[in-house]
Amino acid sequence: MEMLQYEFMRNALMAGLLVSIACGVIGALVVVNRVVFISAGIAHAAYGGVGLGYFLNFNPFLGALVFSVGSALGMGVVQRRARQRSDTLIGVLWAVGMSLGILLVDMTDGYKADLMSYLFGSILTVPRQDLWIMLALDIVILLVVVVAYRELLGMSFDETFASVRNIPVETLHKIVLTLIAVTVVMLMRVVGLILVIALLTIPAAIASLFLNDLSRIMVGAVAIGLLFLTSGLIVSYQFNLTSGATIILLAGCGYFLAFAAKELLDRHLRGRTRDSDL
Amino acid sequence: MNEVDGNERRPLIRLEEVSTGYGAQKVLDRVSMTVYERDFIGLIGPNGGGKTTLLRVLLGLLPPWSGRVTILDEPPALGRRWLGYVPQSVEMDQDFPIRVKDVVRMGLLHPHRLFRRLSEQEHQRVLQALEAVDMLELARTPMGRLSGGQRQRVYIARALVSEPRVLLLDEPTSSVDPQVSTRLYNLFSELNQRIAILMISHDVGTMARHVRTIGCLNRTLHYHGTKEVTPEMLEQAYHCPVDLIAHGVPHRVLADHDKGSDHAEHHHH
Repeated sequence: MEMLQYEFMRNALMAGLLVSIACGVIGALVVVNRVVFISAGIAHAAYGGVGLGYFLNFNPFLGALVFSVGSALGMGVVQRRARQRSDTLIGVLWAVGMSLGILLVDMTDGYKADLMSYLFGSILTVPRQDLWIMLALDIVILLVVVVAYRELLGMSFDETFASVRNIPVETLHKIVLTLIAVTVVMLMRVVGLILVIALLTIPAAIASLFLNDLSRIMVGAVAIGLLFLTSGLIVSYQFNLTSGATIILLAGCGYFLAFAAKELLDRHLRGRTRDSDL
Repeated sequence: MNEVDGNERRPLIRLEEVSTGYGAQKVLDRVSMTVYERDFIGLIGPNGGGKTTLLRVLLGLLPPWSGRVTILDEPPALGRRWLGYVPQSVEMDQDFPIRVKDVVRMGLLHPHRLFRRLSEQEHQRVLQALEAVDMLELARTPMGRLSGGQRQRVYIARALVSEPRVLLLDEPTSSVDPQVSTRLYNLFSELNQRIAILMISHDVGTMARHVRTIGCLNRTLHYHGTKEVTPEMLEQAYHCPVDLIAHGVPHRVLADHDKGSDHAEHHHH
């Protein structure tokens, strides 16, 4: 474990832990609410904020945060009001945000050294101060989900019934989208905004193959995310590969393996019930 | 019609000249009706005749263009808390990770009791509701593994746990076999001892045997607080598939599936 003697490596592992908490809990909500497409849109639109940060010379992460929260709420409104063509509109918002970012970066003079880190992540250069921000965001996410769990579950399962019970469905919906946006920016630090969606959805998708209770899927997804982030980090360190892409590739392989395992498990269970029928 | 056994019955839902629709298309035209305590009303009508739209108006999800709706003298957006809404059992994401008891707990969601843990008494109410629909043993089963009839029972339990004054049933027997359907109707009759029931269905045959009164809805509503479906009602309102004659309803009604297509089909969600 010679890699642990480097501070950047210890920070990276800590970032992996903090990020897997957010992506497991929020990812489960993304998967069961079927807002994967919106989440991907949020991630790409956030690039507009990165560009604005470069152009106006402030922290691009702050710009990304503003843009992702703004686009999340915008896409949420679009999805709820204009049901007809909501996917088209979300696709357009996604592309417009991204293009705006590219043009703003073009118009900015000077050397743009770490631009790639926004696209592909840089978990190895996460500074200590960012770890504290991630910790704070995790605490907020956990607080909201624990406190409003029954309401969030009800809204996700049957929004009509939840509205008829007169609970504030619109507000809850906005809170979930805001948490997704915040999580997206956090994940952007680690795997880059292009790959965010994979890390948000894969752990929750694997957990939901084997578990049938939302709270357990959240816990399972955190554990699975942590496994991918840590193993991806170690593999990328050993073979000197890009860490974000290594993590996602491992997660993708894990997903397909889990899918196959689930299929075999189901076949085994079916076989057993058939035997007992005879 | 608002008296049973000589007792004055309280009106629970009032619709007065309600018209509404989607975009420029009018789906309900000056619909009036009153639902009283202990009513058991079946509304029949062709697909696209406005049955689901009427439910949406009562649930406060679609505002009327004109006319007035009140539920226990409150507008639907408030009064809907007295309604036990039971959706169609087919409308469900089979993969959604939720257990039976957690679905029933949704009936306890309440705007003034947000973010609170359930009390011991509330847990008991959930169990009682599951008991009432004969689903207690499956309390921990994932929803996705249930049959259509079982899912319908869970939705009824969810509605019951909120202690409704009126049960609103949307095609409760559309996806279940006849045996299960009979059991569901027996459950409804039992519940009807203390809760009014308003159900919509195109499955007229089975329904006609159990409900107290029938209305026909096809853009306009023909409801006279009786079980009789008069030829005039059908003449004016109707082209829906009806086989009442086999089930002891006094007037002869001829089935006619095709005439309904004269009217523009209207789909909504």
